[in-house]
Amino acid sequence: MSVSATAPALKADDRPIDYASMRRRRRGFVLPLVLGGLLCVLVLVPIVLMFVGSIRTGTFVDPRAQFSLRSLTTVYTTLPFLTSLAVTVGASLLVSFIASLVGIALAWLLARTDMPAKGLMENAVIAPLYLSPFVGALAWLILASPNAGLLNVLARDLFGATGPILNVTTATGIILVMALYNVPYAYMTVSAALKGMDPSMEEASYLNGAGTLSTALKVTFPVVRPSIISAFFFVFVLTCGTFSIPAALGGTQAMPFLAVDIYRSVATYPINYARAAAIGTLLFWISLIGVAFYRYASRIATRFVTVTARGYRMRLVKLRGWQLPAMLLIVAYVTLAIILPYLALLYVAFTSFTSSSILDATFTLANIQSVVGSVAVRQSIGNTLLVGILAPTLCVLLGVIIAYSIRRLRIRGAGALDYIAMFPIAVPGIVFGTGIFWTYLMTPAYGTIWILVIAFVASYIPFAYRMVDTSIIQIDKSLEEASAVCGASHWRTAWQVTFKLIRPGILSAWILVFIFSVREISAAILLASPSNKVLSVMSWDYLEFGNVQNAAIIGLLQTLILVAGVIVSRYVLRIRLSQAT
Amino acid sequence: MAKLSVEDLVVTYGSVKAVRNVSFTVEDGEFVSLLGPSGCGKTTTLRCIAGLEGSSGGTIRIGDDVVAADGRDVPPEKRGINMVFQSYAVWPHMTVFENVAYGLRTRREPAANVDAKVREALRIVGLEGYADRYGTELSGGQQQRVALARAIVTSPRLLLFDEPLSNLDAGLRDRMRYELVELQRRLGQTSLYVTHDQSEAMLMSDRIILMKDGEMIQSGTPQDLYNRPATRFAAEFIGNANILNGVIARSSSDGSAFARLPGGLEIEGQFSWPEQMRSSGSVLVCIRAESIARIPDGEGGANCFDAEVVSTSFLGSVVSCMIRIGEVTLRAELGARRHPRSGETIRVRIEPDTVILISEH
Repeated sequence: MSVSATAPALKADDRPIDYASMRRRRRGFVLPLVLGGLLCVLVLVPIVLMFVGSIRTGTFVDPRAQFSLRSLTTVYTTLPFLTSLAVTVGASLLVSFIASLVGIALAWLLARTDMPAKGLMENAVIAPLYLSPFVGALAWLILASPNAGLLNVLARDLFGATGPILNVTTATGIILVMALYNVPYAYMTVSAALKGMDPSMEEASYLNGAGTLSTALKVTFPVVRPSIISAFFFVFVLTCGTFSIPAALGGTQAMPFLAVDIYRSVATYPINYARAAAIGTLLFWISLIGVAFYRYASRIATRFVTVTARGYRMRLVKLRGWQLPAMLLIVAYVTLAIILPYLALLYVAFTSFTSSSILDATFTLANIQSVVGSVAVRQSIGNTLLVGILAPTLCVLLGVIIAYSIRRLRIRGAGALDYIAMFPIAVPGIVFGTGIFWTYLMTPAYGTIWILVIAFVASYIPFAYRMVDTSIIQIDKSLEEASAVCGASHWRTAWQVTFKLIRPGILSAWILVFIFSVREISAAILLASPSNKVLSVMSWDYLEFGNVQNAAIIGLLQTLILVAGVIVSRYVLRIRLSQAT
Repeated sequence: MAKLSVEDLVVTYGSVKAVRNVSFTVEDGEFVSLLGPSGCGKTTTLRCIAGLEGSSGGTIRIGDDVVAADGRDVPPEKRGINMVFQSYAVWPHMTVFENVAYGLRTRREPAANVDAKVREALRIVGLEGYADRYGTELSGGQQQRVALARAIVTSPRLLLFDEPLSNLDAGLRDRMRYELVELQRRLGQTSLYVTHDQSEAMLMSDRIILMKDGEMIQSGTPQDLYNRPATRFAAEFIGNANILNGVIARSSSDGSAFARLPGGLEIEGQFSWPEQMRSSGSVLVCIRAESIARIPDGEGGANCFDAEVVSTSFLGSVVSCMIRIGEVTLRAELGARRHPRSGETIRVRIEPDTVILISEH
C-alpha cells in the first residue's frame, strides 16, 4: 500500500461508505425488465411472428393451418418474385443515386455559394419532407397520366400534340417521382456534413492553387464522402419499403415492387397471408443489409467530423454567371415537388369533373362540400387526428422513459434496450404492418384504431428515442449535479432541470412522429378495416375505385392537417424542424 | 519570395468596420507578426491578404502584383502564397504524402519532381517515415507539421500563419516556436504571423504590428515595443506595466522629465517618443513590474523610495509583490532569494530610463 502513504490508516470500524455498491443496489431489475418486455412485445414480437407466419399455411386463428415451407420457397425461388426482388433493389439503387446526386448539388449550392435568399430556398427544398409522398404521387398521376393527365391535355389543347408527351405510369416515371420525394433526405444529411466541416480544409486547398471545381471534387466531397454514402443507403432503405408511389402510379403493371406485392397478397383474390409474410421477410433482409451499410457509413462520418469553434464567415464561392442556372435548378425542384402537384390537386378539387378543357374549366365548391359532408370522411378525419395525437404522444413518452433510464438511471441492459429501440429503423412500414397483422389478428385490437396506434408507436420509436437521447446527451451533467448539491431530490432535479432542458427535443420529436403518423399509408393500408380508416387509406380507396377527384380532395385535407401541425410547431412552439431528422 | 505591402486596407461587414485603414509592409524574407486581443482585426487582415476574405477598400501588393484593390480581389488560388491554419486543416481522406503533394500536383509538376520535393519538405519538418499515414492518425503536433510542410513545399511568395500553435499544449507549443522560427530563418521565407500571445510574437518576430479595434496601434521590433510603448494599450498589452496618471513637474530638452504622481510623489522618467515630449500637463507614467529593484536600506539616488510591502505571492524565480510608496500602489517583481514579507518596509529603486512617460493625444 505504497500509494496511501500520506493517508491516515483506516481502522476496522470506520470503513469508507461503499457508494459503488449502493448505486448498484439502486439499479434494480424491475425497470429494465418492464421496459425490455414492453419493447420486445412492441417491436420484436411482430417481426418474429411474421417469420413464423411465413412458414404457416394460414393465419394463427385458422384451425386447419399447419407448418409448411411452400410460401417461402415460392417467394424465394420462383420467377415473379425474383423479378420483383431484382426490380425493387435495382430501382431503389437508381432512386438513391438520383436523389443523392440532386441532394448533393443542392446542398453544395446552398452551403457554399453566394446564392441569394438562402433561408427561403433551404425551406423550400426541405418542404417535401412534411408532405405525404402518396399525395405527391397522386398529384403526378393527375398531372401526367397518359390520357387524362393535365399536362398532356394542356399540350394537346395548346400545341395540338397527339398522344401523351409525359407518362408517369411507367417504370421511369415511378423511379423519378420516388427520387423527387427522397431528395430532401439526401440534402439534409449532406448539408449537415458540409455545414459541420472545417472551412479551413477548403481554404487550404484554394491556397494550394486549386480552383472552385477542383476544390469541390478533391477536398469538399471526399471529406463528406461518408455522409454521402450514409445518405445514399438511408434513401435506399426508405425506397425499398415504399408502397405509396409505385402503388399509386400503376402498381404491378408498370413496375413490380415487393411492397406492392405484399399489399396485393392480402388485398386481392386469392388472399394469401402467408405469402405476404414471406415477401415481408424478403424485404426485411434487404432493409437489414441497407441499414448495415448505412450504420457503417454513419459511424465513419462521425469520426470524420471536424467542427471548429471559429467564428469567421466561410468564404463563399461567387457564382456570377452561374447564379441564374443554379437558382433555376432549385426553382425547378420546388416546382416539380410541390408547386405543380398542389396546383393540380387544387385544380381537380375545385373544378367540375365534366370540364372538357383546362382553359375554360368551371370552378365549384360542390365537390369539396360533398366529400367533407360524407360521414365516412368525417370519421376518417377523426381517426387521423386521433392517431396523429395518440401515436406521437405515446411514442415520445416511451422515448423519454427509455432515454432517461439509459442515460441517467443507467439501468442494467442499457445496450440491449438501445438496440431493440433502434431496431424498427431497419423495418419498412409495410413489413411492420405485416408483422402487426400476424400478431394482433387474434386480439380484440384488430380492426380498431388502436392497432394503428400500436403499429405507429412501434415503427417510430427509434426516431423519438434517438432525438430525446441526443438532447439528453447534450445537457452538461454538471447542470443536474448543481441542482443536486442545492438540495433538490432526484425527481425534482429531473423535473426542474433535465426535462425543462430537453423540452425542445421532446417537442420536435413529437412533431416529427406526428408528421410520420398523419401521412403514413403502408402499414395503415394492411391493417385497415371499415372502422379505422385514416385519410391516407381513404384517399387510396377512392383512387382504387377510380375516383381521382375525391382522392385528391382527401389528399388536400390530409395536407391541411400536416401543414397546420408544421405551422404550429414552427411559429407557435418555435421548433426548428430542419434539425429534427 | 516577395515583399508584401498593404495600403489603407478597409474591411466592413455591413455597418461594422472590422479593419480600418491598416497599412504596413513585410520586406522580403522578413518575419512579421500581427498581434492583438481577439476581435482586433488581425485575423481578418490576414485572411484579406490570403484572399479568403473580400476587402472593402485599399490595396494589397505581393511582389509587383496587385492582388486586391478598391474592393476587387484576386482569388486565393491565384496569389501564389500559402498558409498554415489554426485547425491544421489536414485533409483526412489523404495520406500525409498526398496532403503535401496537393499543391504541386495542382500545378501539374512532373511526378518525380513532386516526389523529391515532398520528401524534402517532410524531412525539413521531421516527418520522414510518416508519408503513408493518414492525417487522422497523427497527433496535433504532427498534423501541424504536415500543414507546415504542405505550406512550404510550394515555395510560396508569402507564407501566412493563422495562430498555428494555439491548439497545441503548452510544452509542445514552446518547442514548435523555436522550430518554426529556425525554419523560417533557414528558408528566408517572407512570413506574416497572427497571434494573440505577446510572448510568442516577441520570441519569433523581426517586427510586430500591434492592433486594436481594427486599427494599427504601433509597429516595431520586439525591443522597440517593449521599451518604447507609444500608448497605454501598447504598454499594457506587452509586458507587466503599472500605468499611473501623473502631471509633468519639470522637463528637460533631452526627453527626461519629472512627473508628479498622486500624493505628491515625484518620479523621474523618459519620454520615449520625441513627438510626445511636453513640459506641462498630464502624462501616463508606465513603470514595469520587473524594473523595480530592491536596494540596501538607506541607499540614495534618483528614483529611490521607501516602500511598504502590502502583499507577496511567491512565483518561483520571482516574488510578485504589491508595494505602496506614499499613496501609490505598484506591482513589483522582486528577486526571490531575499524575498520581502508583508508589512515590511523596503528600499526600492526604479531606474529613470525604464520609467516611460506617455502623453496620449
